[in-house]
Amino acid sequence: MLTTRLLVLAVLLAALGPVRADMWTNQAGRVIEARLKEFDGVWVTLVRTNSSTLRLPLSALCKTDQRRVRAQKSQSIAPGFVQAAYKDAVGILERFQRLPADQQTAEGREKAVHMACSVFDARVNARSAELTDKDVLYEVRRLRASLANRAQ
Amino acid sequence: MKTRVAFLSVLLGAGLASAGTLRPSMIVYGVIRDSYGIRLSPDSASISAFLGTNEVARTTIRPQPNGANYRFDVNVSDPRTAAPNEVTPGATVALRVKMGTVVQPTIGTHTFVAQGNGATVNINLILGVDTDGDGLPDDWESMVIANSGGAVSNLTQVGPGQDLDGDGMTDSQEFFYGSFAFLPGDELRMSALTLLGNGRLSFTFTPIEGAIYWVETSPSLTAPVWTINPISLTEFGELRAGEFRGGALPMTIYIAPAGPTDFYRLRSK
Repeated sequence: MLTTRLLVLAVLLAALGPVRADMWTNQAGRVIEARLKEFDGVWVTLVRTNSSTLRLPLSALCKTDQRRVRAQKSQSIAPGFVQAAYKDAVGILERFQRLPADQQTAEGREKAVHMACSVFDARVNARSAELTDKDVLYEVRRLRASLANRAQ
Repeated sequence: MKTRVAFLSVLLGAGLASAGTLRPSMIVYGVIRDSYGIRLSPDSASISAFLGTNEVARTTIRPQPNGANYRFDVNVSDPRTAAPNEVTPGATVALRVKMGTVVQPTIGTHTFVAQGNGATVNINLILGVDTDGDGLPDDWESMVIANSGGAVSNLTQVGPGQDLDGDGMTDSQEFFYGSFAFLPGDELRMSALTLLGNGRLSFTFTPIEGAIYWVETSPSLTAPVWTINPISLTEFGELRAGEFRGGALPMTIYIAPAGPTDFYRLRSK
């Protein structure tokens, strides 16, 4: 009976396969193999292959892996000031959406989107020299497009 | 044992020395808006105070009480012992806003005169350039012009005395309040006035999220004397005189009329 149970367990474990782990590099260039478990916006929790947990600030990882953490946890890889600009631009559109229904005309929406895009552009252009990474630039363009698309 | 006592006395001595280094300071706070009138949100910019070319304080945009989005302490030294690069009462201190490494132009007063310990100074700043000198940034005025459908075409046609969308709020009021100057219907307006069974009066308005509001009353409009009126945010809630913060949804305000004829107004900052 015990043998049968162990055999079933072994088959199940084999079917699940090994827990997927990635290589992560910190700012000092040290590499560890671990699985990304959590990211709260500041702190990253990694689970190493020996099951021990490692908690470290996002800034402790190299730039590439910082972006990878954000990407894997579905967070924008755009710098903080771009995200702040996007948040403020979205706030303009949300203000329009709170207007009485009869005021929410297509023309009005277009004007509100124009204002939101203007705010986003001004803030981002003020620090455009900092946007050199092509992946980050792609993300900035994606955020900008998502604002513009709200006019439709 | 002697070693422990000596260690403790060293610690206490260090504590006293630390307490002795506390310096008199004043508080500087306010709201920084971008060139479209939007209050900057966290991570947008840093703010520094300068005495000449010497940076004496620095902070970043963070939500603060009373709707402010920055605040810092500026040390104020005794003029008898102060070094030349330290702030003393009467010195003129300038604020600078940086986005990344770039200092942003500001409109209006960006300096203050240092005061004594515990003093508080409110400095609100608008980023941008104001070519026509009406206190409103060119970026915002250009955006309003672009959305005017051809009704206005130059910066001087948008400003404190103008009301492009004809909703009763001037362009300048709309800029500072945060409503759309090119769309009628989102102005600050009390509506749905209702006299309730419990003797209270209610009205509804659509707030700007995060803005500060209060209600004032006057017994007459001929020689008005406006005072802050107690309000409640619930029909039977306690009435309190003071400010309240706008939420994301339309708000209903409850007041208790004092006499047979009273006048009320809703204000914001």
